[in-house]
Amino acid sequence: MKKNGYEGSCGIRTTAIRGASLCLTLCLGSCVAQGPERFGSFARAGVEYADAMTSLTDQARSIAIDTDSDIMLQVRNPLNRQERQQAYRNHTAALRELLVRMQELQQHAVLLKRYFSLLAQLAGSDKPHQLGKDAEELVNAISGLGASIEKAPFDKSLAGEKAGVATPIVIGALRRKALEDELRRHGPAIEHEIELQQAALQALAVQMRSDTGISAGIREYAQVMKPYADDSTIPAEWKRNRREVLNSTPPVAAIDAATRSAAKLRENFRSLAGGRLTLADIDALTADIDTMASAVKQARSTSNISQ
Amino acid sequence: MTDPMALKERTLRQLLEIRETLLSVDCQEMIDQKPQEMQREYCQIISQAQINYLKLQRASLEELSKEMLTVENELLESMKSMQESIDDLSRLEKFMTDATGFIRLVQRIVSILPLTI
Repeated sequence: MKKNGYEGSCGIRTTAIRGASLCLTLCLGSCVAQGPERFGSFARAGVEYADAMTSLTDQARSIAIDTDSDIMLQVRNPLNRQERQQAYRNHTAALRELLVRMQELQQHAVLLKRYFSLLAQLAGSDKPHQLGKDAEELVNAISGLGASIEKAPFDKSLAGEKAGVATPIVIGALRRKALEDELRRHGPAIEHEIELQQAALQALAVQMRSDTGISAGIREYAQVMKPYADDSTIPAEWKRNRREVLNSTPPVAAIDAATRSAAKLRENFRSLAGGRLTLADIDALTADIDTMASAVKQARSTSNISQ
Repeated sequence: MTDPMALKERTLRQLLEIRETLLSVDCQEMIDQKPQEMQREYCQIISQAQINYLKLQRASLEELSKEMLTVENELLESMKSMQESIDDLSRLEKFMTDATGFIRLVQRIVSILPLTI
C-alpha cells in the first residue's frame, strides 16, 4: 500500500498535538534564555517559509485546475452533449469548492507570516542594535559627565536612576523577557498552528504529486503515444511534444523541500522554546525554504512555457 | 468501530490510486481499444472518480481549515500582545533618545558654567 501523507487521522493528530504542547510547556518551564537575535533569525526564516508556502499553494491550485481540465478533455469524446454539460457542471462545482479550501489555507499562511513579522520586530531584527546603541551612548554620556556632574545643582539620584535603567543589559533583558513571555503564553498554540500548516502542506504535496503524474500520463498518451500508434499522418509537432514529455520534470524538488522545511520549522520552534536553537539549525531551514521557493518559481516558469 | 476520519482518509487514498490507474498510459490505451459504448462507461467512471476525489480532498482540507480557525484567535491574541510590547519598546527607545540628547546638553552646560555652588 502506498503511503501518501494522509495517514494519521485527525484524532491521532490531535493527541500528538496535545502531547507536543505538553512537552513544549514543560520545555518552556525550564527554558534557557535564547538571545533576541536568535528569535529574529528564526522569525525571518518563518516569514520566508510563509511566503514560500503561499507560492506553493498557488502552484498547487494551478496544477489542480490544469489536471481537472486534462481529465475533462480526456473523457469528453465518448460522452453525448447532455453528459458533457453535466460533467462540466459537476467537475467545475467540485473543483471550485476545493479551490476555496486551498485559498483558506493560503490566507492562514498569510496570517502566520504576519505573526513571524511581528516576532522579528519584537526581537529587534528590523532595526538591529539601534536600541542597544542608543542605550550605550546614553551610558557613555552619563559616565562622561564625570566629577563635574557630582557638583551639579540637580537631583543626583535622578541621574543615577536614569543611568541604571538605560544600560544595554536592561534593554536586552526587556526584549528577551517580552519574547519569553510571548512563547510562554502562546507557544503551544503557535506550535499547533505550525503543525497544522505541516499537515496542510503534506495534503497539498500528495495532491500535487498525483495531479502532475496524471497530467503527464494524459499528455504522453494523447500527444505522443496515440498519434504514433494511429494509422493517420503523424503531426508535425510530434517530435517536439515527445521531447517535452520526456524532459518534463514534476515539481518534486519543491514538494520535497516544502515537506522538509515544514518539519524543520516545527523542530526549530521547539528548539527556540527550549533555548537550544543554533545558527546551523536556522541555516538548514533557510536552505530548504530557498530550495522550495526557487523550485516553485522554476515549476511556474516551466508550466508557463509548456502552455 | 472504524474511526470516520480514518475511513475518509482511506477512501481518499483509494480514490487517488483508482484515478492514477485509470488515467495511466496503459489504461488509456486499453480503453481506446474498447467498443464505443464501453469507452463511454469508462469515461463516466473516470469522471466520477475525479469528482469524488475533488470532494473528498476538499473535505480533508476543510478539516484542517476548521482546526486552524480554532487556533486563529490565540494567534491573533499573540499578535496583539506582541504589538503592544513593540509599542512599549518603541516608546522606551524614544525616551532614551530624548534622554541622551538632554544629558548631552547638561554635559555641555556643566563644562561651560562654573558649577561650584
